Amino acid sequence: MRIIRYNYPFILGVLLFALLQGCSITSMRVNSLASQLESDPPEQVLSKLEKIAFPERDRVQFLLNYGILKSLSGDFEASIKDLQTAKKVIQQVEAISISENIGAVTVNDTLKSYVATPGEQMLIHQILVTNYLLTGQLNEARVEVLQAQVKAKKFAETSEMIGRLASMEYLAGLVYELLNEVDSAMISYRNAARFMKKREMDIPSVLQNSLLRCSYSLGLKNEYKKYVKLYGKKAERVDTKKGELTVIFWDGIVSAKKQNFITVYVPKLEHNVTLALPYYSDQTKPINPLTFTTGDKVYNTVPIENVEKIVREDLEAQQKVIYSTALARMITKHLAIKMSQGKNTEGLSILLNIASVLTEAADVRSWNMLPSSIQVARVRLAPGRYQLFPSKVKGKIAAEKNNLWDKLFSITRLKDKAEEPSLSTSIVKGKKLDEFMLDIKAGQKVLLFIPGVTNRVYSHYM
Amino acid sequence: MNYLIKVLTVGVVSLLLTACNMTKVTRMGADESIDLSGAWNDTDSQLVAREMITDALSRPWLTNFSAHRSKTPAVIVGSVRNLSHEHINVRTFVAELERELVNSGRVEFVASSNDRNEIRDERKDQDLHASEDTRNAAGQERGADFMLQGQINTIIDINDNKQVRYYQVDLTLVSMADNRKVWLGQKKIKKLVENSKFRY
Repeated sequence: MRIIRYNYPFILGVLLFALLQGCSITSMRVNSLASQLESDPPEQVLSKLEKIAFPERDRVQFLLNYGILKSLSGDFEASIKDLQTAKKVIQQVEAISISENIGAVTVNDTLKSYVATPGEQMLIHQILVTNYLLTGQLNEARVEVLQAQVKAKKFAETSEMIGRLASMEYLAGLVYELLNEVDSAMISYRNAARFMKKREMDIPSVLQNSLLRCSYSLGLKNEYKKYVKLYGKKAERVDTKKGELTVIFWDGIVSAKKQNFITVYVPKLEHNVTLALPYYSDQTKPINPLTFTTGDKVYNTVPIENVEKIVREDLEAQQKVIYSTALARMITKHLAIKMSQGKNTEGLSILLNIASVLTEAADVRSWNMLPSSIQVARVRLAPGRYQLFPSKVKGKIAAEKNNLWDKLFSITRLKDKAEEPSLSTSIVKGKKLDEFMLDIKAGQKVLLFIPGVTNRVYSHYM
Repeated sequence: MNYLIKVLTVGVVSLLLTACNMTKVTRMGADESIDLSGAWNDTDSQLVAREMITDALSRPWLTNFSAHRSKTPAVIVGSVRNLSHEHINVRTFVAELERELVNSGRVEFVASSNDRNEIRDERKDQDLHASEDTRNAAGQERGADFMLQGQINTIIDINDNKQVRYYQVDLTLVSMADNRKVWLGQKKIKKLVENSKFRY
């Protein structure tokens, strides 16, 4: 009888331990893959990520990473599919799960379904906008802009700044301008400037120009004068003989969450007290601009979003819930150990003490393949052919990755294109920076998407 | 001890339950109405198309045209822009509009510009390969008298776990001869969507 009494909790403990080790190993593997993005091609990282089995509660995290990796690889249609699915799943798991919360209070926070943070949810819309623009689906990009606005309204119920992204507003302004909805663009640019000011970021020249241009074109005289005084320049004259180049540059990879793990033996309680909490390193990644040239002039992209700051803000906003759950968990584990400290249960008590330490784990899941900063540039160029990134300019960002995988990938993509010409619009083969040539015509608008970690340029001529 | 076992059991059971995922498929009629997310769905598409075309065909432009020109008007569906908050498949909505128009028997319907190109290619092919008695000559196409254009707009109001979704579909029938707007149709749909705050 005594053996049975000992075996039952022992089996449960072993089962829990095995399951939870699986959770933390998955998180570690995903974090490791995210850091590999700095050196390996996104296709390689994606194929590794796809091989990792994950529990249903981590589905959102995996879909988000699949989506962003497909964007980095130029498979924008597949990225759209994954990110749209992620949005649907988020909607389902946003409701508070009773069973998952019991799991979080008794075992650890990783038993909760992963719901993207407000900042991440806005970045889903933002990446979708970019994907739609790059595939020429302007109206669908507008839908994402509207959805982001609804989401922002929802987040505003709890906090003014949580989930409010200047980069999203800037892209919204861009979409509205492309659709000749200058009044809506003006509102978005104003919001972008407001959010940047709140986050103590300098208003970049690209946003200053947008505010000047839109306020001037809408005849908002007082507002225009205010901007002229503030930025010390006037709105640029729209020259129809020139084309317009917009560059969206993703710099680096955002920091991953880490775990603070403390376990202390408390003599008064006669067992260990263990606490594991997630945190981001105080040191944020530096912002590196992308430099490009048109021969006579040199331009730099400017940061419109510091994603490093956004992820830290989101974690800060979650702290209350994380701390209260951790406290409740400590009490539950303490009560469980106390109950086992009766007669003839010394072995069980030790086992539970060990289990309470081993099962404690911080939830370090995040959308860890995001860029560390989002940067833009918008310049007017005379019609012609430009090599924007000659070799010496290219050196400004991550070193080129000219490995075997890249070569193999190029061959595969070319083969795909030859066999299925209909796919050519969905899978865009990126050009290496120094091989990319821009051909711009008068009045033409060109969008370049440059994920720094890939060293590739994806272009769309509008 | 009992308490301890209960706590452990709850922990393990919740672990196992959170991992449960079952797929169930039930076949149903295509015209059955089911609202899952509150978003624009097939039922909205069918209802709006049917009601708006019925309205369009009951207005005086149709009888006026037939009386003056002594023929049934030919209509073409132009673009229907999605300006809503949702990724609506406008093609299925346009297909519904086309179906309702053709099946009414009161107007003639001409193929859209995309469809026409395919037909023209086939006609060119017939010129080369089909026998003379089965060949269809070029230059005999029926030109449209009216073009149907439109847009889908939404206003979404959100508070906590409640959402009011207001859809407004505007269709306009424009005379190809003189750009007159001969019919303006509008259909509104309002939905209250309540998302549960809790799940198991």
